[in-house]
Amino acid sequence: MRYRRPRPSLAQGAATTLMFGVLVFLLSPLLVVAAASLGPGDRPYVSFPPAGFSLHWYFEVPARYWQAIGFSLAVAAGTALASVVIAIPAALGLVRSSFRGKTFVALLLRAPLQIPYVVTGIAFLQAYYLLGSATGLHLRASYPGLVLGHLFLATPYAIGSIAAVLARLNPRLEEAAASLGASPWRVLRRVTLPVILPGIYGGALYAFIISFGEVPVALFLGGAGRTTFPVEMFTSMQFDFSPALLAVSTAVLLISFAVLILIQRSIGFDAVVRAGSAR
Amino acid sequence: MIGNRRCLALALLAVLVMPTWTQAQEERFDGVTIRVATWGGSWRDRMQELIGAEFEKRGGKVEYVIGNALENFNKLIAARGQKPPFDVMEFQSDLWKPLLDAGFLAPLPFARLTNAAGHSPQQRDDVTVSTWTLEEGIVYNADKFKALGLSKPQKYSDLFNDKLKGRVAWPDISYGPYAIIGLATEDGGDELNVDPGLKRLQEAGIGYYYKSSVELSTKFASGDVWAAPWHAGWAVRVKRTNVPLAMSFPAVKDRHGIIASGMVGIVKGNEVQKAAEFWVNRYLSPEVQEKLGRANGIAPINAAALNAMRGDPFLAELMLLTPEDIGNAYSINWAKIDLSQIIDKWNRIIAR
Repeated sequence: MRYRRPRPSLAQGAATTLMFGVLVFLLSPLLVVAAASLGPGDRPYVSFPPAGFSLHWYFEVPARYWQAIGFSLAVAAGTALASVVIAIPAALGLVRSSFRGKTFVALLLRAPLQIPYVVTGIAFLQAYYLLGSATGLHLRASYPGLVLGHLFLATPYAIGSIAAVLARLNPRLEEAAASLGASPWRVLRRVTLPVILPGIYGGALYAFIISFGEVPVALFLGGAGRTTFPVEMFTSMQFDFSPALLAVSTAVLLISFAVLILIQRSIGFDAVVRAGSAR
Repeated sequence: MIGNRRCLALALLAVLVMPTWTQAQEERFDGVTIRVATWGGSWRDRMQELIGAEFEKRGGKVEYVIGNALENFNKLIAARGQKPPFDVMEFQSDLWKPLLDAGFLAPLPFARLTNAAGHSPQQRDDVTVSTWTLEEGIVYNADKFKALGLSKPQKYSDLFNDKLKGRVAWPDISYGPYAIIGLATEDGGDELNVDPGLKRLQEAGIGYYYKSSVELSTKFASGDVWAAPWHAGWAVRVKRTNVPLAMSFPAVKDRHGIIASGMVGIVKGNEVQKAAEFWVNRYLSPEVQEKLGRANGIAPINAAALNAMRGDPFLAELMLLTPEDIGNAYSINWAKIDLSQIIDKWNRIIAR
């Protein structure tokens, strides 16, 4: 007997239409930016639909934008790496240990989420000045200074992502390894870490995204020759507008899509998203 | 008596020696890095093109600390007592008094700033010097006004005409207090009493308060907005793309239009004083003043540059370009204005 696929109900059809509607709504600003970047001529405003087709502005992107993108990528990569290095032991401690004041420590680790970014920026700037005058170590307008500032913002997300996966890990796996003679370090390296890998990837991805798109802290902690891409864009838009901004934004958008596809192909984006959403 | 041959030899020697002598006179900045706090985007690019490139030609290096002037002022506050985060700072009239009160700026050696010689006492003080004039008025779509049978707006309240309902944008207070002060003067107020302006604006029921000039320029270009209090610089830049804009400088007390100044100062505690002086002096040169003025629709302080711009009919149509017209515009008393109080009132009455 031939299998007949059941006809979709009216509700299913409505849900699908709604889903596509939401998708178009969410993506439409990006599509407008991409389309407007193809317009010819210099103009101090966004022109949509474009009056023609030209790749002119893609060749006219000022070097400072590419430099800022390079610097932002370096800061975001440093932040992602450092945040997971901190987050792994922190998540292990929070999930596996039982000690007095654990709730307080957990709250403390989430505290950066409650503080407005502008306040964080000013606080770090003041702290760097004090540190500089006391020790001669000047972190303001430096790469490590910016990574530290972003680490403060991003680490709670990384901890949350890793802790969520860790909480679902069956402890019998580790017990089995230990009963077969594996040392605690070997158990961590060969059993725990591989299993929580999606959480680590997820945490690193969140940290990267937060660092790459962050403005207020970078505005205060950046400086001469140390300007991140969002700050460069923000300050450009405050004074003026050039279609080159649309071109560089579209280029970043395409790079981001390429990275997402790469993640999907290599580790599976579903795992990353699941790890993050389980927080 | 000197013979002809000797005369010729002396002249030749003078020709040969002159370039070397001139070069020796040209100040060098080898190994010097100057940090300049200024606005981002194309403004920074222009600073580099007009001033930075010349500084680098003389061996120096320029680093830009980009951000709006208030953010840079906050950085100075955070760095109080330490090495300043930059050496030269650009800002506008609204920050003039806070900067003076905070004592962040070093005295300017006007004897060495030869390009500031023509500045009037209103255009300089011990620690700041004006670099350009921003001209605030009403920007409007000339075609739409013509089609509606409306004449050029003569006062801010002309924008509350029923024919313009839903097509007028008004600046949010974060843009600056110019328009609300202008409106207040129509009912006896001024910068020290903006209440009449706030009341009038509240009654007018403006639907759109713009916070970003880029957003407004897009709405002007798309035809969504037909008129707005704005500055001539944007009218110049948008009209260059064939959007049919015109400019009006409405009555403000017994004057027309409102002006604000761009200023520059050298930060106290800097370690590159000579370079900072070069920067300021070059900024005030006729060449830089004119190029900057033409590109951005701002009026130069330098008289020769202003005169040169006056010859451009496109600019003359949109800007005040005679010393008399600029002098006849309303200048806000920045020493007495209480901006935080105005912002507070705005938030309670308009933005609630």
